[in-house]
Amino acid sequence: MVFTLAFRILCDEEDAKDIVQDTFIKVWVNITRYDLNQNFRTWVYTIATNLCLDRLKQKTPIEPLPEEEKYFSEYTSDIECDRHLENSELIAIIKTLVHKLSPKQRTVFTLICLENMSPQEVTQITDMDADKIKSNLYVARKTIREQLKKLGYE
Amino acid sequence: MNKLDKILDNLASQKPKLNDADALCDSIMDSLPEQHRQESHWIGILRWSTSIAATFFLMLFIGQNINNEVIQGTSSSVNFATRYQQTINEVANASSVQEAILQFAKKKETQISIYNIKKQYSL
Repeated sequence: MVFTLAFRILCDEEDAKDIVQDTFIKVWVNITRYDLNQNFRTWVYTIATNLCLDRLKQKTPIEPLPEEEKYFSEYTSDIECDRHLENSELIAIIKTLVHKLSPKQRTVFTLICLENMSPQEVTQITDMDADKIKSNLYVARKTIREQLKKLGYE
Repeated sequence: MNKLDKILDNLASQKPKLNDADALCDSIMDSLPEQHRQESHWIGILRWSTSIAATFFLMLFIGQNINNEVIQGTSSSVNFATRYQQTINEVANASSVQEAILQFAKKKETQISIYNIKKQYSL
């Protein structure tokens, strides 16, 4: 759960494992501060998302390599097929889609479009109000659509 | 449904594989710091007051023992005289208190107090 979220936001398997470790350490250390009224999953996701955001801000964005765009083209041509993608293929596809997004746009896009969370949950996790979430999501989808057009997939 | 939505729906159903989950678990468990037990405020106060009370009683006990030894020592001030009877007898023939004290000083009987000498010989 946490690994999937971190993997999708960071597009790196090792970074995602680090985030999982850091998240559970933080949960352990701060367990006395957990508010019982709050959903536990949401609380864990909040910690994980904040750690991912910090990591994203430290990293310089890397353009997808031509091989990675090749994975993307194979994927889009075979999208009806229910094949399970390898981690490297997933990284390539997600990176091709989101590499031009800002950290906040990428986070909101991942939480809503890939994790299928409700805007209310995303508000609690990211501490952004509903309008900011909507605008970040709108800009993210617009940027991705432009990217698809540029690559010839729309 | 447009192409983007199809792509995103399919991507959402694809979950990454966590290859060495056990190793990650072990790594997490090894990294967990010791949980700090949050003591109740009253337990802290109880600890302090118990320590202070124990110290007080210990000092009282030691003080009482010292006091007992002193009392025994005072009551044996006469015993001092008895212990050093021979010495005292030797100087008893001194013609005066001063001479007696001098004799004692010469014999370096510093444990016998002048008070005890006077008491012994009703000087």
